[in-house]
Amino acid sequence: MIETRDLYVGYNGSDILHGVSLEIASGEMVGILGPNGSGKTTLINALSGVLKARRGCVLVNGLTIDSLAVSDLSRQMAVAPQKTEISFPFKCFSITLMGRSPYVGRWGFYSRDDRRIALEAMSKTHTLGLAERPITNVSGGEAQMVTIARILAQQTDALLLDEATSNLDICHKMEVFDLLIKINRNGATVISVMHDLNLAALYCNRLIFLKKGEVVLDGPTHEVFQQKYLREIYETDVQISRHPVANCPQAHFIPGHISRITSSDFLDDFESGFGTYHNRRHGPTDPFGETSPENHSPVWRI
Amino acid sequence: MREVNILHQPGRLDLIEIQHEKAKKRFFLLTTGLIGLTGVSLIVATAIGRVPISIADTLTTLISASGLSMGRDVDDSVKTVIVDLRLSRVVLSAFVGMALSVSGAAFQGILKNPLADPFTIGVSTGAAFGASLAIFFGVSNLTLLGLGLIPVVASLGALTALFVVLFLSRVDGRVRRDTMVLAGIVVATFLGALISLVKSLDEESVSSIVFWVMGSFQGRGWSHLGFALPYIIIGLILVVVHSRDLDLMTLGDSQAKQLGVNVSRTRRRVLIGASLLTAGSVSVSGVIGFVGLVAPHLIRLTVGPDHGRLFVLSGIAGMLALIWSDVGARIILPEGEELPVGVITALLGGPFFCLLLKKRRVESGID
Repeated sequence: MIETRDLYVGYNGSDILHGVSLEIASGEMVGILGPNGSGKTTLINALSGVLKARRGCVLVNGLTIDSLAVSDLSRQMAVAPQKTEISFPFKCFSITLMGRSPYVGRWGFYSRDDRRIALEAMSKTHTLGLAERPITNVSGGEAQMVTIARILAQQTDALLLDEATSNLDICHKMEVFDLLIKINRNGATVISVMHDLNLAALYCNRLIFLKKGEVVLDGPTHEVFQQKYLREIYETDVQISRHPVANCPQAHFIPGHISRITSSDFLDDFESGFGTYHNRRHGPTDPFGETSPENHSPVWRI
Repeated sequence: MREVNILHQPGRLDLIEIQHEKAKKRFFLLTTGLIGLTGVSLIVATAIGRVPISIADTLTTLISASGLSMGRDVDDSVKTVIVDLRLSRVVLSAFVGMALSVSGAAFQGILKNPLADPFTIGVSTGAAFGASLAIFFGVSNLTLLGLGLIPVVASLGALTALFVVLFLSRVDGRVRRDTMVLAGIVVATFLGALISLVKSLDEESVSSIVFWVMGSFQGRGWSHLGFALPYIIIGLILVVVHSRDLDLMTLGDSQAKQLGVNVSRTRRRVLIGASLLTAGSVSVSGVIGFVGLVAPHLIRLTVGPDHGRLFVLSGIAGMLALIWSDVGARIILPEGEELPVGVITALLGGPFFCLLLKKRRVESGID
C-alpha cells in the first residue's frame, strides 16, 4: 500500500505538486499520465523518498516514508528512472547486480545467489547478450533494458517506473510490459509513469492523470479513458475506439486540432460527472476510516 | 513474445561464476604482485642516492633496525643515512603516493568525473598557499612538534580551501557536483594568483615557494610522516568504507538513494576523507600532480571501475609511482642538485595520460 496525503512537494522552495492525495493498494497496476510538466516525475521522486514532502506525507505500508531508513525502503520499492548517465564503464552485469546491493551489508560481498538472481533478471529482459559489455558502450534503449533488469533483481513488492520504456522500440516496450503484467499477477504493485496513452490503456487497470501538479482524473481505465476527459487534459481533439483484439479503449488524436482550452466549458462536466467515483472506490475500503468530505474533495479538478 | 529462456542453456550461471573467480584471482595476483614490487622498490630506492650504498648493506641495516641480528655489521654513519635520511624519505613518498592516488580515485567517483583529481577542488592549492604564506612571513624557522610550521599552516590552508569550496557549492542545503567543480576551479585559480603575488613580493623566497608549488621530499623525514599519517589514516577509512556506495552513486544520486545509499552522508564523508588525504600529503610534500589522475585511470583500465578494487590497487600503484619519481628527482641532475618531484610526475604523467585518453577513445569506438 502506497499512499499520499495532501502532498505538497517541489524543488527550490516552489511546489510542483499541490495537494496530491492518492491510495495505491498492493497488487495494483497503475499508469500515471499527464502532459509535460504536470509533476509525474516529481510524484515518483516523492513516492520513492528522493524528494521530501513540504506538506502532507507519503505512507508506505502505513509508515511515513521519512521514518523508513533508505536501506529498508530499497528492499520494498525499486525505481527505474527516465534516463541513467553513467560515467564509468561498469559492465551491464555489474549494473544489474547493483540491484542486489540492498541485501548486502557494508562489508559483505555479492553472493552466488545474488549473481544468480541478477542473471535471471537479465534473462527475463533478454539482456544476457549485453552482460559483458560496458554500460557506457550500449545504446540508450539497451541501457534502459538493463535498468529494468536491475529493478527486477531488486525483488521488491513495488516497482516504480518513470518513463522507463520511453527509449524503447515498440517490441521492447511490449516485452517490458508483458513482463511487468506477469510480475503484477504474482502480487507486485506496479506504478508506471507513461506518455503513451494507448500503451497505458492496454496494460494498466487504473489510470491517474496529473495536470499542473494536481490529480485531475483517477479511476479504472475503462471509466476514465473517455473522449471528453482526454480532450480536456491534453487540450487536443481526440477520438476513442476499441482495440480490435484486447477490447480496451484506444485514443486517436486528430492532427490540427490542438485546442488549448481556457474556458471552463468542461469544468461543470467534470464536477458533475465524476464526484462519485472517488468515494465509491476508496471510501469503503479506507483502512484509516478517514472518509470525511475534505479528505475526498473532488479529485476531478482541472 | 520470445519464449527463449537462456537460463535453460546449461552453464550460463557457471560461466558467470567462473568469470567472477577469474576476476577475483586476477585482482589477488595483481595486488600481491604490486605489493611485492613495492617492497623491493622500498629497498632499492633506499640504496640509490648520492652516496651509493650496496643493496646488501641496505638490507642488513633494515633488518637489524627491525630488531633482528644479521651477524655482520654496517658502519653507524651509513646506518644513519639509510634509516633517518633515505628510508624515511622513501616511506614518506610511498604514503604520499598512496594518499594522492586514493584521493584522486575518490574525487573521480564522487564527482562522477574521470578527470577530477585532488587539484580540481582547490584543496592542494589551499595547502600551497598556506605554505607560501608561512615561507613569506618567515615562520619556516619556527618549529612545532619537531617539525617546521609549514606543514601545519599548509594543512590549515587545505582545510580552509575545502570548507570554502563546500560553502560555495551548497545550493539549497545540498552540495552539487557541478557547482563544486566550478567552485574548486575558482578557488584554485584565485589562490594561485595569491601565490604569485606572494612570490613577487618577496624575491628571496621564490625558490622555496617553487619547491612547494611543484612538490618535493627534500629534507623530509620521519617527523613529516608522523604529521601526515593521522590525516592519511582517517582519510583512508572514510573513503574505503564507502566503496560500494560510490559504485552505486555512479548511477546518480536519486538511483543510489533508491538502492539504499544515504547519499548526502556518503558524499560528505568521502569529500572530507579525500580532502584529508590530499591535505595530509600536500602539507608535507607540496603539490605533486598527476599521480591522483594517472594511477586510478590505469587501474580502472586494468580491473574495471569497481571502487573497492580501485582503491586498493591504485593506492599501491601510487606508492610505486611516487617512490620512483622521487628517486628520479634525487638523481637526475648531476652534482647532487634536486628537482622538484612534481616536475618528474608531470613530465611522466602528462604524456602517459594523453596515451590513456587516446586508448580509451579508441576502445569505446568514439574516434
